[in-house]
Amino acid sequence: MELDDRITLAGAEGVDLDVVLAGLTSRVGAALLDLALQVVALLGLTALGGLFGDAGVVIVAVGGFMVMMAYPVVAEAYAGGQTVGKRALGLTVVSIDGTPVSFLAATVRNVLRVIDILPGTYLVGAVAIFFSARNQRVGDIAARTLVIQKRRAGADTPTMSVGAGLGWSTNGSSVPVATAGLVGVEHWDLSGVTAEEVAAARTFLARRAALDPAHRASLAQTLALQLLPKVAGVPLDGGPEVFLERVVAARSR
Amino acid sequence: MSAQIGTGPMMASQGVGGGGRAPGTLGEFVAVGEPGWNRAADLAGRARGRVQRLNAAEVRELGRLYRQVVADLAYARQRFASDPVTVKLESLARDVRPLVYGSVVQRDSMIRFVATGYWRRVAERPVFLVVAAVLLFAPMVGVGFWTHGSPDRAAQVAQVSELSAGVGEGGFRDPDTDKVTDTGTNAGFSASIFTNNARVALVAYAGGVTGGVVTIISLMFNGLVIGLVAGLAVSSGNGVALWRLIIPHGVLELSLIVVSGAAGLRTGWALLRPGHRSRVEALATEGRAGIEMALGSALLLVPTGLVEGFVTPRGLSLGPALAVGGGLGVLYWSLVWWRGRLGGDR
Repeated sequence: MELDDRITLAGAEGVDLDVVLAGLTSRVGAALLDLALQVVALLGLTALGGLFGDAGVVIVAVGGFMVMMAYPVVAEAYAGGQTVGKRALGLTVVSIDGTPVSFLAATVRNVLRVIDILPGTYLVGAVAIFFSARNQRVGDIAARTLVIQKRRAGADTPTMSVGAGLGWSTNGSSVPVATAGLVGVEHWDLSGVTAEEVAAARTFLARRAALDPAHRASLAQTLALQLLPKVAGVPLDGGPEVFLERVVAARSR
Repeated sequence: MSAQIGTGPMMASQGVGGGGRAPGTLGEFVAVGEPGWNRAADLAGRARGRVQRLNAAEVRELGRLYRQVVADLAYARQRFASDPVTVKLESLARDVRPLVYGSVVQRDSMIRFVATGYWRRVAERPVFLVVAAVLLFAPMVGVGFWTHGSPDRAAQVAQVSELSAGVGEGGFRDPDTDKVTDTGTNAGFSASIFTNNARVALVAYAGGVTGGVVTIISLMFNGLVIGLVAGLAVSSGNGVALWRLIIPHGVLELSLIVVSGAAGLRTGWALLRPGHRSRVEALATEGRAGIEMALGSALLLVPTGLVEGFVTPRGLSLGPALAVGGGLGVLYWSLVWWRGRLGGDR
């Protein structure tokens, strides 16, 4: 994550939040996906228009305008800052202070697309994204908008369960540890374990389900060996992961 | 979830309930905070980016929960830095914040825009209207007279551009669409004229971010083409027929192109002479004003297109054509003068 472009948004409560800016590749991906959808819609409109004679010309002209111009504006202003392509890649348009983008701002950035797209290959936009401090293309600069990474699709479940981060409330196998595994906990000595080490162990426990089994085992081993000399009294039966669960559970009690 | 202030661990610790103490361990912190966090996540999920999807009580609850989440986050950053709980709270705060602080679009803002906002924008900086008009009409008149004087060479030049090619051979072509105008009423024709003109208007505006260069080129080019077409028609003795085909819609159409050009020039000028603002700031402010001018003009191109598709092809004689075209033009500019000067101090 540290490789991402981040900016800090100040909040009214005095608590700053970081947002991750979208990179060129994901933005190109979203744009291509939207373009593909628009082309399909235009083909559909043309086929439909062919059935209606003179009225068909109206359908093609007005519908084409809607698909190419109105669709991105309406999607960004009224559908949470996301066109279909941006939604698929987890991108969102927000105004520069992190609030949702307004209709006029969405119009500005989409009308100015005709400049960013010059000379037909988005060269102007790409150069602007590379050289602007906040990955903005020309339309973003004029509209005061940012394109940010929301959540990578599937990386996190949309509903949050903070308990899952503790490694005991969702993972069935570890639930008994929290209760039965803590027998004799009052005799354990964990005072040598730093908060950073607990955080590392907890981060591992929260993410272990997504790890490759071999890596998962070696990571658990490494973390457990680091903690082993600093604790006393913690039973070692059950392997490194159960050991880590016990340390974390005891420290979080 | 109770809906009273001070439900989170931090609120509780500040003694709202009296005699509370800061949560000592991570387990306590999560146990106290989690119901509220989950409720906030649930509400944010149901709002799906628009706070209007929640009812009034839920909106108020979300506001309270957000402040709780942020307070908990501040505490967690100190006590449990780099812990998964902190990461999750950050992501939750990021999700909820736009719902709490986003401005809800006023339903009457559109009405206000149509009634006064647009006209005020147009009237605001008249100097750009004058410059845009000169950029459009000077080449038009100049080329018109040159063409009238040497029609043979002009006819050759006309072949260079698709827009004016074929003028003087057979039927008249509409300078906007290169389509041979027939006398049937034609809805499809209206629609394609509208989209074409709307594109011209929006490009004239967008050219502003090039410092106005693209806007200037676009205005002058459109002026040249119209001048060429008009000059050739007049010199081949079709002048009156051409005026009858241009004037009913043309006065308003060219007015709107001038206004869109002025929007682009205004945006471009902000880049060249930002004054006491930073360039980016000036571009954002004037670009916002400019898009209102261009957007309103693009909308007004709908009735213009309808006139061009339905009224113009009836082949009005010169008098009625002047009445329709002049009437629309006078109506537009009096609205600019009347609605635009209201509350000049803004």
